[in-house]
Amino acid sequence: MQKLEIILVWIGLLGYLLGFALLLTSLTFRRSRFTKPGWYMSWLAFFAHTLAIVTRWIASGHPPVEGNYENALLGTWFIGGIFLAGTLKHRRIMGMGVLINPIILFILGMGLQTKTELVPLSPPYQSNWLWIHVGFAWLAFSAFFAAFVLAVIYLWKAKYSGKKNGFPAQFPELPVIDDLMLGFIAFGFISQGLQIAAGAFWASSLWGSYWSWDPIETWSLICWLTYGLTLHLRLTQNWRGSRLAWLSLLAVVTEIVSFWGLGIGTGPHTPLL
Amino acid sequence: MNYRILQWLSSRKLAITLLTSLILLLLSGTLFSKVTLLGPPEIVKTWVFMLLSGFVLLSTAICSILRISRNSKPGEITPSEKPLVSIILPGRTIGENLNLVIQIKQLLSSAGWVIRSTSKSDWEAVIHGSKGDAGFWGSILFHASLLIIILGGVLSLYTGFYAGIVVTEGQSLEVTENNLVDISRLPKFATSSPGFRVELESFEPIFEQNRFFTQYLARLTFTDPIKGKISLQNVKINNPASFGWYEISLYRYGFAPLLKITDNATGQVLNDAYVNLVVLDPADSDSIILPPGYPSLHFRMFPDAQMQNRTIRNRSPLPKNPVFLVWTAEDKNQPLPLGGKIKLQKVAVQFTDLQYWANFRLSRDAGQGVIYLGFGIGILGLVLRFANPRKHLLVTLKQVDEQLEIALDGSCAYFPALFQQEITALAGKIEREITCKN
Repeated sequence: MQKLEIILVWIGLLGYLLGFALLLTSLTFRRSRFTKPGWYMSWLAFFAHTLAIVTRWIASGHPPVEGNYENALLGTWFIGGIFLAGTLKHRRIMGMGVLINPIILFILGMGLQTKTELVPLSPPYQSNWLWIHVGFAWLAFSAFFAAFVLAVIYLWKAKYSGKKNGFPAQFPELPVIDDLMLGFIAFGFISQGLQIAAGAFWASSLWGSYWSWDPIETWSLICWLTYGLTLHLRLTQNWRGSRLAWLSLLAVVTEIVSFWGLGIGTGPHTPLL
Repeated sequence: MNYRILQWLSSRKLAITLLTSLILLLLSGTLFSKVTLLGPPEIVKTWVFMLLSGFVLLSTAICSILRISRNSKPGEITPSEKPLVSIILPGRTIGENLNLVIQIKQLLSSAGWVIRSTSKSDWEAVIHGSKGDAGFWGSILFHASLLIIILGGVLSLYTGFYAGIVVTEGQSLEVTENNLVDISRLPKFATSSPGFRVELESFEPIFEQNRFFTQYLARLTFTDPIKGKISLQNVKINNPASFGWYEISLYRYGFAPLLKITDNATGQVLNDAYVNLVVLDPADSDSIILPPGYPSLHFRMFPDAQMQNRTIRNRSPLPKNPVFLVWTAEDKNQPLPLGGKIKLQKVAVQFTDLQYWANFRLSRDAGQGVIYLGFGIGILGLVLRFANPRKHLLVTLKQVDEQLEIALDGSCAYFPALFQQEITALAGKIEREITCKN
């Protein structure tokens, strides 16, 4: 079973790599005909990635949330999923894969460097709140990350706005990117709100306290407030375009710190027992 | 003057300043706590944080009230000089087909638009539609949720009870303020002594393959001496017990050996009771501080000990063959098995029984439910606001000479570019429908 999972993971990795290569070719050689094959390849990789998760889930009997490898496997699935779901409605953002795919490769590759063996779900994780809390956490991260990638594309396209052909021309017009950035941030903000609420429920039954101001809780709150501020500035002060893009680039730092800066992969945030 | 103060309090710039200040304060708590000695838990209790939170409360409340009075009804819009999309139908007139307006209204309804008003003359017809009217209430709900969360936080701060108790297996403890440990918060305007008695009847950690810790089972009996109420409950991971508004969850546990420590010279008994040691396996060590003049005793635990080449190894975390390694600053370590006795330079130690001790967290918080309610309302508000943002649409049919001009105009404050795409698609649909059916 685990052999099958590893084969599927490697098919996924290869797919993301080929998808990235095709999109990069489209970018550097200005051959837009490579964009769609790159997108298809990303879909193929995502399909293998999904099967790998299902295989592991069946083998271990629990969702892949235990340890660095499982976190990488699930987290990158959400990143890939939210990007590909977005491309179904807005086909012109499929080139985002040129930034999304390498990040998936990097995180999944790092995960593969750690222990991949199946272990039982550690005691604190034996809760239904796990699904909700971790699921929304990854959903929020993926949405904020998608907004970050769109911000990079916005600034890049704005810089080369005069050029008709070339890769930036494959993306939607700047105001559309701006709206999509807002959409992803709002989606992430709602998801993170649910993540924090579900985490509080879980912590209450696990530790007897719904909020302990531990570093990850505090950083999650900082991240939520930062994106709340970003939304407020966009909606009430009309901070559009480049301003929103720069805010997105800065705000994602708080999300990265709360996910990786404090060592979530090593276990629950506050040690129990 | 008063109105100016209200305007200032409800201003968006103040809200942004307050939000930024709160973020910076929390950031300083996480980044510079070693320098300032103020971590996030301390920061939130400072007068600066309290003052800012108070202003957030005021600002949000006033802003919400003013917003309701200003924007509760969808406003009327007037056609602009340059509409978003225009369709020209040559050789068509409004008068030739009275069904044209009805047809467009049906199309708009099928696309989710609510028709607000229609006006029609021989040469012009105007249809006003809107979408996402609930989105406005989403914004109000979200702001209301912030108020509820802050109020819940204040309630939690002043009425919350968060403290611990330590009970040894087979023993009972009256939960009074004197017996509490790890006190993180006690209510300021209510009793700090729950007053009931807790007995730890048994405690059992469960391991898979004798290696992986998977669960624990603590059986507790609660007795309320005043009401005469007795309750037997199990505490497991993610499954706390509850008694008289208190929730009881396990925080940690360890081994409690029954140790008899006597003075070698005088025979005086220095200890004859269970000692709660923070030891679970050979990696942990703990010590007992004896009265002045005696050395501290250090312990290392081997729950399932096995002798191999004169060294002790541990086979599993289960206490099948418990052995302590005991040493002092003056004595080298000596193994002390269950039922055994060792003699050190100044004291003798006898190990006659082994139980578990457990550290439970007791909590009672009236603000917790209020905060949950606030979060629920906030999430509902956000979903209403962003999944269904407020949009206005104005469809104008105008007779210009021998042709009919259909102009689509409107607004969506949140997603203007995507709105433009939506209207363009709608215009295409209208054009196709009219051309096909007529």
